[in-house]
Formats: sequence, structure tokens, C-alpha cells
Amino acid sequence: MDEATQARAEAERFRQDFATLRAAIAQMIVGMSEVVDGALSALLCGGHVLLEGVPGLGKTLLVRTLAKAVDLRFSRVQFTPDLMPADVTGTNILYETEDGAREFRFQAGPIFANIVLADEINRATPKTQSALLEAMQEHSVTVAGATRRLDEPFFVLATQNPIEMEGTYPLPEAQLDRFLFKLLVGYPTLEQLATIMDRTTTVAEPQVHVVLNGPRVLAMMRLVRSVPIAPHVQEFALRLVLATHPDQESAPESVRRYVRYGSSPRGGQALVLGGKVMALLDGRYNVAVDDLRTVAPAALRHRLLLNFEGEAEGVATDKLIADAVEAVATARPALEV
Amino acid sequence: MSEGSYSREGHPSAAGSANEGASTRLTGAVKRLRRRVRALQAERRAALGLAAGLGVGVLLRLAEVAHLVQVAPWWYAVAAAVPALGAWLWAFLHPPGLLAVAAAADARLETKDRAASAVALGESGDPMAAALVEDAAEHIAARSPRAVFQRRWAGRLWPPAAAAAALVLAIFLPQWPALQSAQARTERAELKAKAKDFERLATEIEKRSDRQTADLAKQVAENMRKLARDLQSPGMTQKRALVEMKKTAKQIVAARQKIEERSPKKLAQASAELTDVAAKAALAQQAQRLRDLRDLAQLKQAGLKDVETLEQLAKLPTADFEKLRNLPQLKGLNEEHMRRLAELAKRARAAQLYANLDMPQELLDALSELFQKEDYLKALELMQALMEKLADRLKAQQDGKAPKLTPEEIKRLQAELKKLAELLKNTNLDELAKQLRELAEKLSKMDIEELLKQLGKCKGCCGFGVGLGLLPGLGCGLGMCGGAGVGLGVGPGDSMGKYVPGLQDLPSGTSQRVSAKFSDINVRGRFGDKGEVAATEVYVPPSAKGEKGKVPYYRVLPSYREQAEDALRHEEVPPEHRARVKQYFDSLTAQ
Repeated sequence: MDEATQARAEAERFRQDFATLRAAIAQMIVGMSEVVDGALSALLCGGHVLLEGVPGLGKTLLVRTLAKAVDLRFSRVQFTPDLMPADVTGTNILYETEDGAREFRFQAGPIFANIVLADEINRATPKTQSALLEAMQEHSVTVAGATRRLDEPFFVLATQNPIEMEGTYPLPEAQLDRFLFKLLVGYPTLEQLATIMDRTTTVAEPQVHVVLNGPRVLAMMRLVRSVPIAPHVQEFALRLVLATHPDQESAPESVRRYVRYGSSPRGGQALVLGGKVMALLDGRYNVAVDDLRTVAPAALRHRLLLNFEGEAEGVATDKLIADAVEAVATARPALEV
Repeated sequence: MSEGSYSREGHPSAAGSANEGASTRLTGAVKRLRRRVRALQAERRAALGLAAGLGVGVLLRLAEVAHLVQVAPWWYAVAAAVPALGAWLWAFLHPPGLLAVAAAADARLETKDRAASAVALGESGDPMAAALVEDAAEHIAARSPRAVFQRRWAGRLWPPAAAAAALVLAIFLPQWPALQSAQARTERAELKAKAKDFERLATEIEKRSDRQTADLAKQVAENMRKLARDLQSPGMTQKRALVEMKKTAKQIVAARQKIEERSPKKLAQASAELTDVAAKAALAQQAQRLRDLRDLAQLKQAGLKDVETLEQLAKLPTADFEKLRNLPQLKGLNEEHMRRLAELAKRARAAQLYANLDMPQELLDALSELFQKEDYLKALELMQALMEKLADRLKAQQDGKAPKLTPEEIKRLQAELKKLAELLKNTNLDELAKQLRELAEKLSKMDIEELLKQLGKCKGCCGFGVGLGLLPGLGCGLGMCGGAGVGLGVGPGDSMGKYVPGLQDLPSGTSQRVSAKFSDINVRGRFGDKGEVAATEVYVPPSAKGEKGKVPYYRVLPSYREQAEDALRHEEVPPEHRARVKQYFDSLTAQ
């Protein structure tokens, strides 16, 4: 079997495993297909996800189900105002040995897991929120001068409630930028609600089966990064990132008017990586511009900082991103035949 | 990475050896697509070039309608063909890159950038890139270039079709009779008739030429036919017709000179003819100057500002009349001419009848025409006598002394009119002669008012014209009717050397310097009413009495605004209240 055939076989297996994982989650989660795909894509890209939605939509259940399906170590941290950084990362505690000697031993916090659910992350203080920064970016934790690596894969899913803003601490831009995707959890439809009722108010409880393991997830992550992207497609992603900056010539009028700061380079990384997963799922071996269009809202919506006018008029960030996509697509050179 | 990335050539053939076949298939397919794209682009550019060329044709036509340029029909063909061919050639010589073609094929086939990515990444040697090349080859190689890049006739043809329609409209719309003035229609009809005359004349010239002058006659005939075509062209006007006729006349004169060179005439005879021509030219110039008398505006230039009509001219005192000598148009007249003119004016002034008489244009035309001929003074006498009789008779009629012309008077008038008609016979003023004869015949049945009316009818005839002897036994005349169009006639043809007046012989206006002076005007006023406002910022610290400190609000507005932004961003503020906050701060900023 030559390399190309082998690559195609691996890509096919990726699609199958992804479909299997999606189906397993669907045993528990009704609807939310875009959110599930986004979360799985972020997992396979090696990024983190911020889930935003009102309470009761199944955000926590989704994360728990995902952790069960991939047979990874899962921990949940309920963020509250009195939560301390050490409660997340762990701390050194005084430990008395059998011979009566005393020593400090590191008690690992809930961050030491493969999948971490940071529930209602905006209820913790910025100090505690920042405890996640190093873990999310470097996949390591430093306590009392000692740096400890986190197990791979390391995947943080944070949730936040968009309507109860009283007594919350909105995530700073630096923290938001660490999330690969921001996914919006919408309200289920009537049919989906009916299915949820059927599943949760009867004797029978749906079970989640393990379909993947950690090494397989890591292999899938490596395969994602091996998908090539053509220079002209990558150029589209970078132009899209630049188009979210109001001071750029390529920015559309709406971005110039309502955006204070555009996306960071991490936005471009999120676009390309998300596009690679989309390409594999579509049975391709290349990233297409359409893939970038698809992942653009999830990858960029939390990276755009609106200005006073945008905030006051309640401008939707997704609309600004759509405008930027159209502006970049229109500016692409096209062969006139 | 920029737009240039599309113009880069990919190298799919350099892909790994494992997928050599797929790479070859992909390369071949993309190259086939490029050939197709090149052909279609050449067609498209040619169509656009054709449209642009036709647009230039429209502009040419508009310039022609505005009499800025004369356009031959083949100009339109050249204007359309050159840009079309140029655009086609340019597109054919600049084929698109493989990457651009692959991207276009992806867009047409909705293959999600497979082909373009494969072309761009095929040489990387990466296993995934190799898989990509195979995948792209599967999607692209089997496709027919014609199916991928179909010819879109509608998009290709509408620009040249629209431009062609605009050109057709531009050509034919101004010729539509409903859009032309009555004068333009008349002018066109006359030009068309004259063009037919020229064609007939050209045929006649060729027919009558002998072996010795056949080549020159053919050349002259061709020039005349070209003139006839030009006269019928859409942009032709009377003025341009004159210019064209002048050119043709020059060509005819040149041809005649060549014939003279070939003829065995003696030098003395040629010299005599030239002298004769020169003498007649001088007479013609004088005639023209006399014609210019009718332009009373010239009198104003001579300092006779109050002279608006011939009646006023007649009332001029002798001293003022002498000012006429200073007119540039009259400088060539000798003492005898001036004496005759003065006498004519004196008699007319005595009769006080010019207001009623309104000297017929045709008589003045006839007068000037006869000045060109040998009967110059005789014609002047004749006209003078005729007008005196008419004036006297009219005066008597107005005074109630002679209600109607007596048979003897009518007989005398008839005799004079016939005499004048006889003089005009066999000249370019045949038509006038004919009318004068008719007038004489009817004179016995009419009173004097009808006579004047009949004289007024003569306005449709030729103004002035000159004969041109071209070949032995054949002559032709070129001239201009009195405001009516181009005149053409076959003259007696009994001799050579008739004078053709050139446009340079016509009087031209003289420039006039207007002396003027200007001076500065000073306006009194004051500075400072609308000047800049000088302001000083005042910061007042809190006083010991407990008064609050004061700081200009625009110093603190940015920080307050920032706080409001933070509140809007981080707090749950209903949209309607957000708008209110924004309006509040906007109003502060505006102040």
C-alpha cells in the first residue's frame, strides 16, 4: 500500500470514528448537532471550547457524554465567586509520612484531567479564571514554582450563561482568545423537546458506550494537522482575520463602524484547524474556502471586541463576521471566462 | 501571498512517484482546461474589444453629427476591428496559469478547491498531498473541458450587440426626417439633387474626353463622383459642401492646367488668357465687395451706426456717404463706380421710397453677377434706370397722381425687363432671366404692387455662380445659391479660363481691439467680527468654602464614556436603554 492509499485509508477511518462518536453522543444529546460537531472538532484540533447558552440546554450533559464516549478522564469544576486558583490547579499540602515526618505533597486539582468542564466560568473571579490560562495554552500547571504537564489530550469546555450577568466576571479578552471555538447552544425545537422528554422522564435511561480511547483521539488529532492547505486558501483565512480589524482597508463597512479590535492570529489558527477537520469530514484531503466559511463564526465570534456604538446598538458579531467573509470572498481574484 | 498567487504555475507532475499516474492525469486535464479557457478568454476579450471599438464608432458618429469631423464608412469598420483583434491577440498570447485555471474549474464543478489545492501542493511529496492529487484527478480528469467551461453566449454577446445597436441608432437616427428641421431636410434634398448632377456631369466628362485627355478626364470624373458621394453622406452640410466643392474645383483647375500644358497653344495666347482671367478676377472681387454692401452691419464698422436699413442709407448726407469709401469692402471701386452708387442713392433718397420698395434681393444679385461679366457698367445703368422708373412711378402712385401704370410705362418696363433678361440669358442666372421675361409678359395685367410681389418670387433662384471651362467643348459651373444650396450647371463650354472664385477671395472680418481699463476698488471694513474665538481653559479647585472644583466636561467625558462602554459590554442592559445611553453620550460629544 503506497502512502497516498494509506493516507486515504486513515482519512476514511477518521470519518468513521467521528461518525461513531457523534452517534454515541446522539444517544444522550438530542439535537445540537452543530454544537456537538463543533465540540468534537475543537477536541480533534487540540483546542478548547466556550459554550454559551441559557441553563438547562444540556451543556454539561454534552461534556459528560463526550468524556464517557471517548473514555477519557473527566472532571468538572463549578465556578463560583469564592473559588480559588488552588481549587482548580491543586496545591501543596502538608503530609505526614508513616515515620512521622512531614512533607509537602502536591494535591492535583481538577484541572489534571483530559476533559475539564469549567461550568459557569464567568462566575469565578478573574484571578481564578486566569488560573486556566497556562493550562489551556501550555497544557501545563505551575504551582509553587513546579511545572507539571497535563495529560494529553487536554480539552477544556467552559460554559457561561448569557443572561444572568449580575455578580459575574466577564472573561477578559486574553482568556477568551484561548478558546478555539465559541459555540452558541440554542433552544431545542418542538420535536427535539419531545424526544428529550421521552428520554428523561421514563424508566429507561440511555446509555453511552465508549467508542474511542485517548490514543485514538491523539492519532486523529495528528491526522487533522497533516491535512494540507493550499497557499491561496490559507491566504483567504488570513485575509479574513485581517478583515475583522476596523483599521484594515479590506474590512467591510460594518466592521469599521462597530468593531474596536479584531481577531488575533489565534483566530487564523482556529480557522485553519477547523477547516482541516471539516475537509476530512467531507472526504477531502485539502482545506477549501467553504470550510473556512463554515467555521468562521465559531472561530471568530468571541475574538471581535465591539466598540461603544456596536454594544449600544446590540450588533450581532456573527453578522459582522459574515460581512467580513463576503468582503474577502468578493475581493478574491477570479478568472473571467 | 497576494493576487499573484493565482498566476503561479503549479507542478503537479513532480508529485511523488506513488501517484505518478494521478499526477500526470491531473496535469493533462488542467492543461486541456487551460487551452479551453484561453480560447474562451480570447473570444470574450475580442467581444469586449469589439464593443469598445463600436463605442468609439458611436463617438465618431456623434462628432460627425456635430460637424467636428467627417467620417468615411470604413472608419467604423477599422474602429471596431482593431480593438477586437488586439484584444483577441493579447488574450491568446497571455494564457492564464494552471493554478488559476484549476481554481476556476473548482468553482464551476463545485469540487471545493480540490484541483487548485492539488496543483499548488502536488510537489510537496506529503502522503496527504499525494492523496489529494489522486482525489483531484478523479474529480477533474474525466471532465470534458467543453462541459466544464461552457460558452455563455448571452454574457459574451450583449456588450457588442448593445454597442452595435447604439452605433446603428447614432448613424440613422439623425437622418430620420422626423428629427430634422425643415431647413435641414431641404438642405439634404438639395445636396442630394446636386450630387446626382455631379454624377451625371462626371459621366458626361468621361464621355466627351478625347484620347489625349482621357486620363485626366477620368481623374476629374472620379473626383466628382467622390464629391457626389460626400454630398450624400449623413454629416454633410452646406458649409462643408462648399469646402468639398472648393477642393474639387482646385482639382479641376489643376487638371485644366495640365491640359493646357499638353495643348499646343502659343505662349502669347496663354498669357492673354491669363491676363483676361486676372482682369475678371478683379471684377469678381469688386462684385463681391458690392454684394457686401447689403450687409448693413458693415456700415456700422464704418462709423455709420444709425444706418439700419437701405432707407436710412438713402437718407445719408453726401458727406456721410463718402464714408463708404473707407469700407474695406469698397476700396477696390473706382471713381466711376462710386459716382454711380452715389447717384443711385441720391435718386432713391429723393424718391423716399426704399421703405416700400424693399429692393429685391434678386436684383442686387443680378447686379453683382453682372459685375463679374463684361457688361458691368451697362448692367448697372440698366438696373439704375429700372429702379428709378419704378421709384418714380410708385411715388406718383402714392401721391395719388398716377393711380396705375400707363400702357406706355408698362411697355417701357417690359422692354427694360426683357433687356435685362436677355443679358442674363445663357448665364447661371437663366432662371432669373426666365422669371423676368414672365414678369414682363404679365406686366400689362398687373398693377405695381403685384409687380413687386412678382419680383419677390425670384428669391428661389441662384445667387451667384461662375462658369468653369474644363475641356474644349464642355464647361461646368460651381456656385452657391443665395442661401439655398449648391448650384451646378453645364456652361457654354466655348472657351477655357473662366474664373473660379476661391474661398480665400471672400472678405474676412477684421479683429477689433477694445480699449478698457480697470482700477482697484477698496472696500472699508473691520477685522474680527467673524474671527476665531480665543478661549482659555479654567480649572477651578475646590474652595475652602466647600464649593466643588470645576473641570471642563470634555476632559472627563472620555473616561465617563469608557465607563459607560464597560457597563454596556459587561452588564445586562436592555437594548432600549443601551440606545438611550449611547444617545446621551453622543449628544455630549456633539456639544
